[in-house]
Amino acid sequence: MSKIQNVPDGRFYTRDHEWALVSSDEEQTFTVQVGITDYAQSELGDVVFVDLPQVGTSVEKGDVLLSVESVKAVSDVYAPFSGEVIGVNEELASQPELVNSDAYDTGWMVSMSVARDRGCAQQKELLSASAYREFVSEQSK
Amino acid sequence: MDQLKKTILFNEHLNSGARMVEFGGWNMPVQYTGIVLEHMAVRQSVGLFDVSHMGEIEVYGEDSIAFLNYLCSNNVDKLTPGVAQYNLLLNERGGVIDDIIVYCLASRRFLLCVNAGNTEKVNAWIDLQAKAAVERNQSLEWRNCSGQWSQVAVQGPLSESVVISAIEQLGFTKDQTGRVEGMKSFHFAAFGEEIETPEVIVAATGYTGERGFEIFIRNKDAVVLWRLLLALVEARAGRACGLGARDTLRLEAALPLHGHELSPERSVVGSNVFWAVKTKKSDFIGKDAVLADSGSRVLVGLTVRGSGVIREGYEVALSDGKVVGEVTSGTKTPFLQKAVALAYVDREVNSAVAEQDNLSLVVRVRGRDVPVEITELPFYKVPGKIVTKG
Repeated sequence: MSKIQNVPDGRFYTRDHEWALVSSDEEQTFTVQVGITDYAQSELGDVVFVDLPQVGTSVEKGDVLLSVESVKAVSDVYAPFSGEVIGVNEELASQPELVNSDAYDTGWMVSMSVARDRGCAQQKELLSASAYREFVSEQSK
Repeated sequence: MDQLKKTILFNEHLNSGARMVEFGGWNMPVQYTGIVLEHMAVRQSVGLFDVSHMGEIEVYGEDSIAFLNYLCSNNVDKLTPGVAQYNLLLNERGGVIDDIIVYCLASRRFLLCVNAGNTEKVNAWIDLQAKAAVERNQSLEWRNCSGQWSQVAVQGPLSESVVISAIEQLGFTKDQTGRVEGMKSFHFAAFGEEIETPEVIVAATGYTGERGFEIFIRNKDAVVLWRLLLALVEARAGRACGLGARDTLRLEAALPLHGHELSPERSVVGSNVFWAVKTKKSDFIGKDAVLADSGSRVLVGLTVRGSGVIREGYEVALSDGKVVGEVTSGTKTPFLQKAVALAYVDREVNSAVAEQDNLSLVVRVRGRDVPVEITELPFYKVPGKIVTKG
């Protein structure tokens, strides 16, 4: 499957090639898992190090959440929502290449807790899977 | 990407699905299957590179030795036919215009292999210097023949059998392939009807830190050779390799890259190739500057302690914040699986660190101070390999 087509439904996307998956839904907050898309990992090349944030870090939407080091360069990953980091993928410390081989699943990076009211508003600014597919098609022309 | 130069092998790379990038004015493959896979192939079996973007300049004539000995930093007069030598073209300030390899084809006939991005500058420089020599009644001829040569590199522990099989399939005789068997580092064999115009040059040189060969071949035969080599390489679990792996390999081997560790603005004195500057020989361009320079900064290897990756342009500092150096190349390399770098640091700091255990260095990485330690170079060396320097 080409990188452009490999964009799973049921998630949100950004123009910076991040994906956000709502993984649980409470009264006041929801939990979002964040990673980078298959297209992004393919453009980056072999990932050698993922500089993950500390659990407990608060971020605003658009802040640099973490950075990904590939052999050739370093790339920033931005927070798709405002919230608090509640978990990070510790497997990436010993296996950064999971970002390349499995960007949407075992290559996940951070999970965040997002306040419901702000979160719902911010969610409207994100792209659906089909909108992201179209965006990436345009990018790679 | 339309104004970029293409090698004869360009379509081969497209057909292999290579990702292409601009490099030194050329449209070159940066990777085929992935930098890590390609790097590991060279360390573990064999890799194949298109290096046709490199430039070739012929220098010959009665006074060619005297001329090259003046132009270049190493002892060119020690060369004999079939031997190659690493050289630096210095400017009057002791900076490096280019690092090159000089191949001695015959007693008064040389081929210079120069970096792709510097071919025009080197050509203009040689033109300038050679014309001045001719004015002084030196008997000299020179020619930029880059347009006639393609070049490929076969690097890795299985490289010799690959090269020999390939040239056998090209029709080389047992006598000819015998010249490649067990070829010593920095030696080469030229093949063809005339010494003056070889068709193929097979040299035991390379830019990866592994046993390997670089093959110069006339453009008309380049595609055939590439396809033969690729089939042989892949049959031995090897891969075609691009510029990405070329860079990570040379970094592990601590081989300098012009534009990073070497440049016209930085004195060669602090570099790790100062051994190629023979200050005892008769006059050469840059000699006075080199003799007068004590080298305020010196090239060292750095390894990151803990996590993080350090890259070109990042500052090296003491723990109190004083900047004492600059990284010129760095990444986390595939074979070593460590974040390593080459950096120039103040000479006194390098000496002090050697003497005091508690003098620590950090590298500024986007606002964070990453602790590093000075590491002996090279980071990687083939076990048991004796690195011979001409």
